[in-house]
Amino acid sequence: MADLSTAQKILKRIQDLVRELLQDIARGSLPVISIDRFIPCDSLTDGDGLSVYERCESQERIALKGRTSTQRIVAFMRVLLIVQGLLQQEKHASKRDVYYMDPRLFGDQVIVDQAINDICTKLKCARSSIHVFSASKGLVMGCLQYIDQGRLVDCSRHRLSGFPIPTLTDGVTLAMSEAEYILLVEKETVFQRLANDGYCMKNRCIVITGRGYPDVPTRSFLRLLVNALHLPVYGLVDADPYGLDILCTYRFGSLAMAYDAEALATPSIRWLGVFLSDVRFHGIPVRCLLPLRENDKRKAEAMLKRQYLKIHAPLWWGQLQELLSTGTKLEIEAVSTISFSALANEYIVSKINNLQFL
Amino acid sequence: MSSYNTSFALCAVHHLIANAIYRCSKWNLPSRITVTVTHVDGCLSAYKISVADTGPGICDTDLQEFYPLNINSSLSDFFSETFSECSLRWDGVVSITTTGIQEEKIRHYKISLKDKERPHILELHPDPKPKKTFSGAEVAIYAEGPVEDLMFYIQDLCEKISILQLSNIYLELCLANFWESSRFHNNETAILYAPVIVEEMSIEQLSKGTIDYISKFIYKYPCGSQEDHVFRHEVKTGKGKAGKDGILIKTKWIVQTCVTVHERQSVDQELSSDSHTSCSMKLFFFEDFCFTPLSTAWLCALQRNVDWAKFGFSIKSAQRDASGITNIDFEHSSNFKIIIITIHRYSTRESKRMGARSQTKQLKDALEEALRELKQAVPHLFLGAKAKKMQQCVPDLSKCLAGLITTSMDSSFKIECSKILDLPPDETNAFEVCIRKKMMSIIQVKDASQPKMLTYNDERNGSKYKEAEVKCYSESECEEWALDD
Repeated sequence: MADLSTAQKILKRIQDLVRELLQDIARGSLPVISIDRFIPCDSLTDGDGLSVYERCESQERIALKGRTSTQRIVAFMRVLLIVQGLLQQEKHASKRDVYYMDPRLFGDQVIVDQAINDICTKLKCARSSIHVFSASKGLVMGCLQYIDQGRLVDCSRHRLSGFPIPTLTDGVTLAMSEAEYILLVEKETVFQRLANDGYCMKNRCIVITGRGYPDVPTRSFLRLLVNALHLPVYGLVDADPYGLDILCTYRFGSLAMAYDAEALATPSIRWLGVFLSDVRFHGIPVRCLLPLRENDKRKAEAMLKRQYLKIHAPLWWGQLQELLSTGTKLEIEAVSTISFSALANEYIVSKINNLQFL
Repeated sequence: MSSYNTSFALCAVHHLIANAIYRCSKWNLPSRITVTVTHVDGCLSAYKISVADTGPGICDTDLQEFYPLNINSSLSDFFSETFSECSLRWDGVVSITTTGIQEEKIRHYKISLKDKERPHILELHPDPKPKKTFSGAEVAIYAEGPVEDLMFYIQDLCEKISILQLSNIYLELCLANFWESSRFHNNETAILYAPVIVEEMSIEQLSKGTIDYISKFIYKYPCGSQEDHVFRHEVKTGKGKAGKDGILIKTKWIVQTCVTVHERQSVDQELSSDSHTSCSMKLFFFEDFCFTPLSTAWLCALQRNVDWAKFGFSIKSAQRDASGITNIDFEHSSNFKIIIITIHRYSTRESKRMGARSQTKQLKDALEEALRELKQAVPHLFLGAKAKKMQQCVPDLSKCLAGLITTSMDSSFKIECSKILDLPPDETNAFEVCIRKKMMSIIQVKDASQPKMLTYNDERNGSKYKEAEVKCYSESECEEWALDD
């Protein structure tokens, strides 16, 4: 939970903004809200962590002009009013709660999501600071005990399923962990495969999945673990453009939430697999290589244009090039063609021990 | 006797009147035009319709072009559509008597239009003219059958022409030899339709004439009455002009436009079951000093080219009525009691043909300028479509903004905000209303101050005339205002 002084700071910024808008109106101008824009940059920006996004000189101006901008400024003000209430009352609400406070006005959840991003950018704060959260869809299992809102959670107990990642990491404190590394897996099916094979019983680790593109609580929780435990993080994703993009989201954050990238990104992640080369070195049958589809190619081409990827993760960039040049991709499940439990028993351990990660 | 039906007879009379007005408008001396409908003695339903004027007369060369049927097809289309079922008939012969001021004789002609392809001109024996002190022309036709439609049309036409308040031209309608039982029995009585003589043709005449016409012929208020006085106080007019006269200027056509509105007052709204009721826009089109039904092509051009949405209009349909007025209906209800567009298009010299695109552009420029002037005077009546959409968001926005103030736990912040908005400190509950009113007003003002074409009104104010876009707001403000849907 944001401490009182943080809430007060945010409330003060809200007051400043309201004052500016009133002055605009008193001067005979319609209210305009200028919002910083972020662009990917080549060099790392200063800050507590790492960010590959920087504020650009030009600002986005949302105002009563055009349908989209008008809808955006109205939603901005409505959500800001809700946020002020949450901060003053020291309450929290989910994005869905916010939507249902005025569904007629918002019309769609994405309008609320956009308004929350705009508010965080304008007030220069993290989403958690405005007391709005999104429900977590991530799962965690392994050698980890933590206290969430005063309740002890032992992630080693439910060996066949996993625990939901807490929605608010502000209320989480780590109690104990004997883990040696954190394994990040892209898919829930792979997470369940590892749970069934008792991977965490045989290895001292923490396994996390964001079930596809990770949400804010999952990324925030991972960042919390890394900060507190100083463990290496290995990512296990498909060798295709979308798998790599998911891994990039963990590592660099997303442009949509660039204002919060420093707090959510985990720059120490290493790509454990799968790679196209695993067909040669880990006995995966060649028939498991699948052709890239058109949208895969478009995605790869778009990602290759990201200069920060080329500069800060050149090996990943190289893998992406290889995907495109060979026109093939490989999914994690292909490892299971070697044997049913090859992933848990051989592949991951072998890769970590032999330092076969990027 | 007949070879032409009512529509041709009406068309011919319209043309005779228009021609007389045009001749007299080029004449520097005061002129009188007298339209006379005479019941021919001994014939039950025969009438002589003559148009006499004290203008310069008709010279021989003009006579070659002076056929009553030599008129534009849109006008004849209008008459044939509107009066197809009437049975007034005309024999196709036009009698002309004319003399110029320098002439020593009075010439007489009969033009037969029975052969529509080759009109036959017969010059009759002239009469001597002992004194060179007068000039003029009388052009007459004979028609047989029910004359009511013709009478109504001529009377209505004369009323409409009074809108122009023509300089130095008196127009009168006389009825002669009508029986007592007839609906038109004001025997030998003239009705004068040119109340004011002004020095020169100006757009102010058009504006004043339109206001007079509304009061006198639409509202039927007695001149100088209390109602007339109130109406003249409430009515608003916007004026626009395109084209320019002058020796070195190529333009030969001038378009003057007036938009006249009478806003529905709050009392009217209370009396009405629906406070916002529909109202048709009436369009009076004049060409070369005479009212003319607007052609379909012109109407399409007006609908298509004028940026109606900028002035809050969305046209549903448009059609001419039997008197030639164009009625334009809107998609949405309006707050107008009456709205009239008067357009006068006239040539300044011997005109050459003008391209359709240039004609349309002139009309559009003049009309948009008039609407723009009116919008600046009464912005709330002409709020553009985009501004209306903006205003729809204002209640939500002002509610949120006011909510941020009123729900704040910082009392000093509330006081500070009330100071910014010039609200008394103890009226913090008035934030929402105050913010909403201010924002609505800002939208109105900005909407009425859109970038415009520098035309007639700027010229009137001494600015150099040029057809280029000028900024009346700063670039950034215009950009801010420009909507980008």
